[in-house]
Amino acid sequence: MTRSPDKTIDLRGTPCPLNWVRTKLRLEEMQPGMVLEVIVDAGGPARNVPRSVAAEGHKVLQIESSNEGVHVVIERC
Amino acid sequence: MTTFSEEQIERYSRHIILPEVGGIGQRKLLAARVLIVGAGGLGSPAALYLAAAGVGAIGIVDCDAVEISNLQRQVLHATPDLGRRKCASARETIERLNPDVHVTTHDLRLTSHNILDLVAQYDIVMDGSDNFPTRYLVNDACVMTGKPLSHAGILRFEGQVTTIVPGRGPCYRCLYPDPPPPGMVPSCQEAGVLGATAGLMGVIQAAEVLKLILNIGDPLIGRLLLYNALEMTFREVKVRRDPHCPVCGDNPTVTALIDYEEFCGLRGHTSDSEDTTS
Amino acid sequence: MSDKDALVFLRLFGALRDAVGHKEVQLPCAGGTVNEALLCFAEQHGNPVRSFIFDGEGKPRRSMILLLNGDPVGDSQITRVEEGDVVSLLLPLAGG
Repeated sequence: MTRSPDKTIDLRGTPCPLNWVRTKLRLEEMQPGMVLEVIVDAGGPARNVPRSVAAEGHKVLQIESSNEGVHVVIERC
Repeated sequence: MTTFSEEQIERYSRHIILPEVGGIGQRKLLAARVLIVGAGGLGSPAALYLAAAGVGAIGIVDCDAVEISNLQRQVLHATPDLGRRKCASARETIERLNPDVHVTTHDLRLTSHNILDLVAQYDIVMDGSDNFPTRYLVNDACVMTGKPLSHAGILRFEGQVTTIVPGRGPCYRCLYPDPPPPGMVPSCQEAGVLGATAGLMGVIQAAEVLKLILNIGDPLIGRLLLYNALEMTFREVKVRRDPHCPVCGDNPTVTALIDYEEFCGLRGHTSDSEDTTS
Repeated sequence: MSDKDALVFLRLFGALRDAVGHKEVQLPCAGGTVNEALLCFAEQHGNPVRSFIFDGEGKPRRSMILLLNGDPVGDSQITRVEEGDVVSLLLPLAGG
């Protein structure tokens, strides 16, 4: 069961790498353990953002696709 | 925490992506204050890259006007700037590149009387001057005020660069306790310099300053990097702090700024003490 | 006792290199001190090389960095040079 996010940001329409940059900036503002949900476009963003999140050392808790974008749930480490 | 504007997020995105920088690091850059001594061969590329990086406050010290021979390497200035004060030309170029940067011009010659007040206003100093008296003056002032200093020198196809952080490594006087006798080391005016050598060394200085602000990586503390453009070689020399250094040693004997023209033998004293002051 | 054929290499920079015309010189000065090697070099070339290296009192100028095989020389009157050693004489650069 995924925890409900402490913050959600809608990054649909934001291209790479700005979607990751915004995600990263938001994560920096959060304490370790808090959960961030970002909604990104399918395709490149949905592949790139989770990969960058993990490379930076955070945990991708869940990735869920829908007709209205891809929800990536992240635990700030 | 200060929020970035939309434009800043995009402008600095390539920095923010870097694990070693991030938004946290970018804020440090925007809050930093760097003094650049000399808007010439070294100061120009350094200023450009520091401004592009978003260093929020840059001070420029230069008392000259732009001359055509400068344009071979002093890339802050362009042909329409001929005859203009270098400070004014530098400020305009920097502000065009990045409006986040606040430029303060110091259109003056650095002396023992004005340098301490000036250096106090900045976090880090970058020496891009072109003469030995100024280099010793800047070094001594930085050691006395505890300010980190990026030092580089160029001539013909060679360059030397090091980073001086008082208390953490040697200062310029530890490397070269005495200046060379007048005439031994020619100036760029006399011996020439490859423009790109100035560019390369100045950008190394910018990288060192950025690393100091961000507190990342290994700055050239206690290391003198030697560059030869013709051979395309880099050599590194380890240099130690001298515990007997008169300025940064355990028992400093030079605790106030001196007459650096005299120190460098440029005062024109004769052996029977005839004073020829400039 | 120094081996007359044993060579020490002097690596030159800047004005010294210009004065001598070569970036590296070979000297038969192994077995002595760094200072003796410098004196040997100065003897060979006279002025301006001698006045670049030694001050009015015959001491090596402190306006150059002396390296022995890449490491800073502590005291040139004590440190010895062996065959094949490289002594570098670095001069400061003021251009900017």
